[in-house]
Amino acid sequence: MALRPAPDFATRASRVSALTFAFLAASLATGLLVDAAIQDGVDVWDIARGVLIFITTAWLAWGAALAFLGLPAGRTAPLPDLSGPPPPTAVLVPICNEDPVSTFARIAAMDRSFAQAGLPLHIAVLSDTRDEHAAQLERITFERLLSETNGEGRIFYRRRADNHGRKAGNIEDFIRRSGGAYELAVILDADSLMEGETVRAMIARMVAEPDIGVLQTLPKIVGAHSFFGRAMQFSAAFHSPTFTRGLARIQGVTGPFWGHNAIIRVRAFAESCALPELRGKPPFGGPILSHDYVEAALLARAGWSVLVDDRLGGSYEEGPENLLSYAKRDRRWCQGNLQHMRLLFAPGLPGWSRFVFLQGIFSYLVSVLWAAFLISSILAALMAVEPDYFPDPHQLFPVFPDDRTKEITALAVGIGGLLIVPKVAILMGAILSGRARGFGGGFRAFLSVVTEILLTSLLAPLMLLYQTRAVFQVFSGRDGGWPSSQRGEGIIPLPSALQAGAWIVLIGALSLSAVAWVAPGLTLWLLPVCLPMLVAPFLISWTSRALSHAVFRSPEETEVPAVVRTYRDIHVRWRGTEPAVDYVEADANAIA
Amino acid sequence: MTTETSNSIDSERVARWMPPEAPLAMPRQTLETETFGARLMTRFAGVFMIRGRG
Repeated sequence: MALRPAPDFATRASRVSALTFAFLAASLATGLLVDAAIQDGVDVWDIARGVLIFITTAWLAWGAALAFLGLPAGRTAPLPDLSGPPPPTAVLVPICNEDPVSTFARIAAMDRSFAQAGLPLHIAVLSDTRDEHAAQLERITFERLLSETNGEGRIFYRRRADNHGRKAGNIEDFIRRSGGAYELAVILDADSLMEGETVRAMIARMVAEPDIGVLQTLPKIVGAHSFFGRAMQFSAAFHSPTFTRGLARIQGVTGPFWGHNAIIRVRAFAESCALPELRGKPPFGGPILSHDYVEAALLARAGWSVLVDDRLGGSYEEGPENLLSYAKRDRRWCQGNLQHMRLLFAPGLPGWSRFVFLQGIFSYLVSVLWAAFLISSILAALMAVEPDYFPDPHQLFPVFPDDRTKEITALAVGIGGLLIVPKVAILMGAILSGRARGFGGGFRAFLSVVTEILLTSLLAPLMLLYQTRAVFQVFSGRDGGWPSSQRGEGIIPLPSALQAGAWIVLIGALSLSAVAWVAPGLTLWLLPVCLPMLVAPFLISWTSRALSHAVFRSPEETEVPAVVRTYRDIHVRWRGTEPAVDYVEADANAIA
Repeated sequence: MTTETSNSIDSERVARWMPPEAPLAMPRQTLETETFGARLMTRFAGVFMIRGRG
């Protein structure tokens, strides 16, 4: 590939409209705030608040714009099918200290699904497991996988002696040694599941469109048990397709690539994606952690298209079951995204790839900016001068300062609206199109959306603190590493939650007490932020518990996909139990 | 990079599990330059880092 594909008119129009919407919403919010803030004159805190509200509102409006762009239904054209045998294709499963029974049971299920779809694919398990005992278990379980699938000669296992470059290095090692044997490769995570028919459709599209370097699917979350996990599962199934369609429209041929449940053209990847180590020590130097964004940018730099196809179903993964696991994963992603600051000026990247890096960086910095906005609002109230009711010494009647409560209320409602309106619009669209039937019908989908909005509102202050802490940890030079995910973790008992959330309670209590003391007028405004902090341990523990299926029903629960069903059957046979959450006590220090 | 062997599963069998040998070149990409912007971002990251904790 030589010529970089230019964004088409629709992509450019999507970008301009989203940027315009974000700019207008941010300007309106800033205008309302400044109008209210300058009643008593302009000080440094007013300027700070104006800048902060502009950036944070622009960020929220940008998210809303993605949803609005994704609301119109996508292309109805059918996906191409393979007319002949598929090109040589490998399915890569990089693993690192995973539960081998679950991982290989998934591979066995997918192998069966690939065969049913008429796909003679090779599967390569690429182990980076460092623990010898875990590696021994992998080998034993792999033997069982081979014997049950008769997979010798087409299902492979190799373990690296060192895990240099982590997952990206693991894939790179495979391509350097074996990439010449394959035209295409499906990249999975250890918890991925994909239907054979989905992979067949992906291969067909890669064959039909030889300029595609990566084709990404939208994985749905399956197998969640807890309140928190099922809320995420519902959100991924109900809201994410719309957001992803919007993302596809705005990114065009420059992404996104999320590093798994995607297919790559091996030659394109080999030519473009050998990542260098960044100069200096982690967290900003060393191996590139959030490699998928960088690989997408490098492929686009080399002229390959990176696409997400929201029409592709049959793509699944698992998600965190509780807030602590979520925050732990978020800490890794935070470090990876902030590291992209080093790459903003990398040579030859398309402008939009740089913008994608910037978005990723901002997705974490924005929490710090919200915290700064809250702090500067309190400081502004503290520094506010007493109103002068008699500016003219000879006047008879007092002059009261204009009441700007209406403007501030409008600002709060507007900001809330940017979060809620897209979800309500998605709900309306789902009811009108009949999509809500898969979620238990319109009323049940409505209940689920309302519950999800309430839950995310309650957890937002906690996430704000977790993300703010993560940003400060990275900027203070603390390398969080890239530990493997602890899948299948479950209930967090209250004592563990108290231990893990004590610092959040402390910050909430100190903030609320300070405000009640120095600026009592602001207390009511801060309650929605501080109250969830005060009860953080209860929220962490309560949301980790199993939930009735009255809300958050998803189509994959109502009608379990074939590959998921097969996986569960194999898991039962191999281990004697369904894959389920282990009710273990969470390690409160796991996300220190 | 070598495949580990174990006591219970012989090395010959583990070697058979290896993916086919078909090397493909992967040229290392350049992402960092000495442009003003790149230096600025590196410095920006470094400025905020508290030394000694990395």
